[in-house]
Amino acid sequence: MLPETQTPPSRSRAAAAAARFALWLAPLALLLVAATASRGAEGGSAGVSEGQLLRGAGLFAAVSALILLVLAEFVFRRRMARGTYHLLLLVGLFMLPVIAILGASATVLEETKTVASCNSCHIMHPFVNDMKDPSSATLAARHYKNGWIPDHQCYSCHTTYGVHGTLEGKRDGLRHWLLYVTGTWKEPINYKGSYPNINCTGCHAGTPKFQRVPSHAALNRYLSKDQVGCITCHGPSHPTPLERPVTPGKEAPK
Amino acid sequence: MAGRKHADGGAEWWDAAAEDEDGTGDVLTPGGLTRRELLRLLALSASGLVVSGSLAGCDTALWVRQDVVPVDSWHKGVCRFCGTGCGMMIGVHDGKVVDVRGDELAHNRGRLCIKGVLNREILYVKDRATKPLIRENGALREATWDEAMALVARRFKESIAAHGPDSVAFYGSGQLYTQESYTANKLFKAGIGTNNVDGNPRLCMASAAAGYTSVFGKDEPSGCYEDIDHADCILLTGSNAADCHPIIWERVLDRKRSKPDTYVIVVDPRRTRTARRADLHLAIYPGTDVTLYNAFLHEFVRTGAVDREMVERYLKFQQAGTPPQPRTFAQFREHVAKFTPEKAAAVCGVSADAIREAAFRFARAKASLSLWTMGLNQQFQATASNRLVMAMHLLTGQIGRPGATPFSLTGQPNAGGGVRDTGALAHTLPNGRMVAKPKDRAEMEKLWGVPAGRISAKPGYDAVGLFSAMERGDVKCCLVMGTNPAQSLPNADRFRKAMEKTFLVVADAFHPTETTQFADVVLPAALWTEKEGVFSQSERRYHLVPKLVDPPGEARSDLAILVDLADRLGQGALVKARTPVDVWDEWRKMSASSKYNFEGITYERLQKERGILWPCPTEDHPGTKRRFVPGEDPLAHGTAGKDRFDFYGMPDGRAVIWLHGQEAAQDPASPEYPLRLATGRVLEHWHTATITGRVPALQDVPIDFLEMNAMDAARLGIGEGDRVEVRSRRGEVELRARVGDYVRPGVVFATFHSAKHLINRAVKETVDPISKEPDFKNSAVAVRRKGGPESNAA
Amino acid sequence: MSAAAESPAAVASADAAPAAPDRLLRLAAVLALVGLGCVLIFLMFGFLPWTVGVGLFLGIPVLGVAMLIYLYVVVRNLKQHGQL
Repeated sequence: MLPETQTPPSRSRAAAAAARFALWLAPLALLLVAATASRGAEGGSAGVSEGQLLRGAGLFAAVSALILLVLAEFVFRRRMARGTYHLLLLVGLFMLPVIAILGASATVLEETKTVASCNSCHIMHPFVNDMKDPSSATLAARHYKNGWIPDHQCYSCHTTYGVHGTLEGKRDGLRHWLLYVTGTWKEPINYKGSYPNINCTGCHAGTPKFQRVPSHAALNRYLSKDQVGCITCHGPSHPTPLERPVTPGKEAPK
Repeated sequence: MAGRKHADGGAEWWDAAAEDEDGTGDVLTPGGLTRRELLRLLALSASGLVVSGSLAGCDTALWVRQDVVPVDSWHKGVCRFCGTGCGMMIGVHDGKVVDVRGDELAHNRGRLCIKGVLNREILYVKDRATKPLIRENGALREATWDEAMALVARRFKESIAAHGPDSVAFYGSGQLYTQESYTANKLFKAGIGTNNVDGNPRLCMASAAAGYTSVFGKDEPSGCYEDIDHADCILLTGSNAADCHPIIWERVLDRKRSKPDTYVIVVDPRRTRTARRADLHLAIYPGTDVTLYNAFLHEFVRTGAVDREMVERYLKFQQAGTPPQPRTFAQFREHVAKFTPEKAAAVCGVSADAIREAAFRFARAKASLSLWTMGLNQQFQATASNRLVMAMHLLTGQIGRPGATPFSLTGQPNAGGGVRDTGALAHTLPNGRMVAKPKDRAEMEKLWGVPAGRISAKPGYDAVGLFSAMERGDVKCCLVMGTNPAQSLPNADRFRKAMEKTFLVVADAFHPTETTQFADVVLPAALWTEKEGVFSQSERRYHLVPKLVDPPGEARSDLAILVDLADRLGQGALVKARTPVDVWDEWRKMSASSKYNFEGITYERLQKERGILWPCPTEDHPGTKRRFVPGEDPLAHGTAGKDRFDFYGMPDGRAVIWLHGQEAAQDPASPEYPLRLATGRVLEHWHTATITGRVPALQDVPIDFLEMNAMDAARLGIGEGDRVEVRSRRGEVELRARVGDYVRPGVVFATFHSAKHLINRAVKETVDPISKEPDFKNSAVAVRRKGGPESNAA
Repeated sequence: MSAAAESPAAVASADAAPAAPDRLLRLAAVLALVGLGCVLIFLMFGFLPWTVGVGLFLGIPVLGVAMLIYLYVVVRNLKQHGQL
């Protein structure tokens, strides 16, 4: 099924119609890009971020591909030159979907870094509310209140997801999502495994204030292997189970 | 497309049935799936969901992140170290404790300090005692339990027969479980018939106990940790909480983080890590506390901060002395008028403005909390200082509501519940009863089921008194349990000689210690989770430490040792309760007859809950946060909201404000000994470092240093890291100088962790005349340079 | 569905798009439509629990399968025509 170079005149009208229709896609897609960009910019940051651009491109690609596929496969297929049909399939079944997937991936990788996306699961509300509470003394709240982490506060300490996230991070994401949508999570939710201290030491370990503390030197071996968490002494990073509201229908911790 | 005949004859998956029937065979089947295939697919995805759903509940490594340290099971327990009493989860793997984590549901909210973290290692460090040892021809040799215990029983019996019951003694510890201290106390006081039951809490908590008892009629603080979360002014006096109660200090900092205008005042001659974070640091000269607090009281009166209702309804005034003299409020006012801030400033060595500011902040805050520990308790006028801090709260009404309370911190995990509440001190009996009171003795004789008159009317020897009695030869045999007096007592050399003269039985989890070298019999004891028992920390919270692993070698729990000893001394019938559960039940039920009622704290509750604060009279009672407050304290009478207090420890329901004057230092400075020595701890080590000193991770944490002010150091020609000799009228110690602003001029500081450079050789054995607690914070010393930093440390 | 079975149709009208659609291509197109729809929902509504499920956990795999089928058909046809 090679793309044909010669197109019979009888088919060219149909192809032209399809092409004209495709031209309509451009303004529509542009509109979508603009809408997305303005939505993303409400945080106050000027301009369009890479993630927003890719999301716009993804939207454009997805809409275009949908329209193109419907037209090429179900409306104009019989009236189209074989070459045009195959070209449109190449665009609609491969090129545009690739852009759509890239756009979606970039969106998820970029957008999951935002506090808002974490907060989109209601399980996370107590954690985000606490972080934004200026009178809270949890580690998260102090880092937030004092501006120690200017942006993407959740992601900065939970770096296993996002672009550079580990495979474990992706799996955890899937597990969390499954637990969430099936409502099978257990209260109180808690952090599984040993927290990677590198998330703390990355910023703190180089400071004289950190190095002056004899306990840090004494525990160096344990800290570097995550056998002792920094938060053991400096926590709690978030409200403890007793300090969090219980999700309706779930059991309170004892 | 040629019709594809499916072997199974199945139809195509969308409207295929009709199309298949038309027999063209040219069926539009974009899916290319048969119905069977579709069903198979659906079933597969459904089973996939089921699998992942069930995986959601299981913790395989493929599905859930695993801990770095593999753990088979987690158990709720309590830290082995200080009186903060942090709840922790203890991880066991292959029959060994391998990990600990802060318990999120306990009061410490999941926090632990470095010592707490290292609980995971303490059971497996070197020098664990594993076999009984008997001294023979000057050297300790291994023996069987039977041999060792037979020897102990024989020597005790001989001594009692020849010299009377008061020739034997028990020297216990705030680290024993409540069941153990209770049993020892019962065995010696109601069995053997001597009140020679004392212990290291005498070096630690006795002044606070004497203070509370004399002010409220009953021992133990009335508030709780939660008060920190509500306080607007926090006074830490004689407490370096940042190093010595780190998790409590974090809670103080949390309060400041939540409410930055919370005012923190620190009174301490040292510029500790605690003092560095204070809003106001009063670096008073050692031993001048009484003047400072009197000046505060004076300021309260002068500025009209006195709570009139408190004075009229809930307080009375007494002049300290034997016997105490009643005083009126007018007389009290006259008394404190002598302590103007200006006069106090001259005595204490801080500015009058600072005193006024501190007094104003304390009195005018919505809720003021004071925290103190050894800085206040280990002084010649320690009980007086305790009473005056309590007076500050009572006079201004800063007590009995959230955030307002005078709160003493304990140093050991079970000095409160184990020793103070069980009355395992020379002058006390269980639940706040006194040896000196015939009624109290009679009550206990009845409760313990022993003949009237069995409990001796004569209070026993307090710690320093006990070792002095050994020195004189009055006490012939002593059982030392879970403590290391050869290192922790003041004027160490003197009391080491006393120990040499005595038949000393030392039950400890470690050998050698400074004390086991003087032992005639060493009994290997189980440590922490190798045995089960109940601890009680600073806020009257009883909580359980479970038995999780087996002790090493032949080591036994201290309770088992005491029960065995009781049997061998013919007191088996008295010690009927022989397991931690049975002893607890006996003790719990006994408390019902007292103002310490915690009958509702059953073993089942201890196993389930994160500890409970007494009073707790019934099983459905949640525990009491604030004592003496009607409506909160089940033992307090009165109408909540109308009556503020019922100080039911006192017959007239009124707490006492004591009048005390400043007294001179007992080890006076002289041109030869111009500096004042105070001793204390660092964050990473604990007490005599019997345990922490053996944890590999803590080996390099410096403890052999002498903190001194740069001005003193310059005058003496001493530089940072120089070898220096600290000399007193009693002995000398060599240390490394740490020069800076760590202490106020005229004061030097050393830790008592180091056995190699034992600072207690230099400390004077002065005791508070009321509490009999030694003054570790105010000895006269001289410091001399011995060499530069490059020369080898001794 | 063997290649031989459908080759007559393909050969019959070499210059025009096939009258009867390639069954695999039709499947790919349908899957792609479903997948794209799901991805579009995610892109439009942003990161929410349900959009993540629809767009990422359903949409992208479905779309991916569609693309794979498409690629398979292309490769198969190229081979048929001896181009590979």
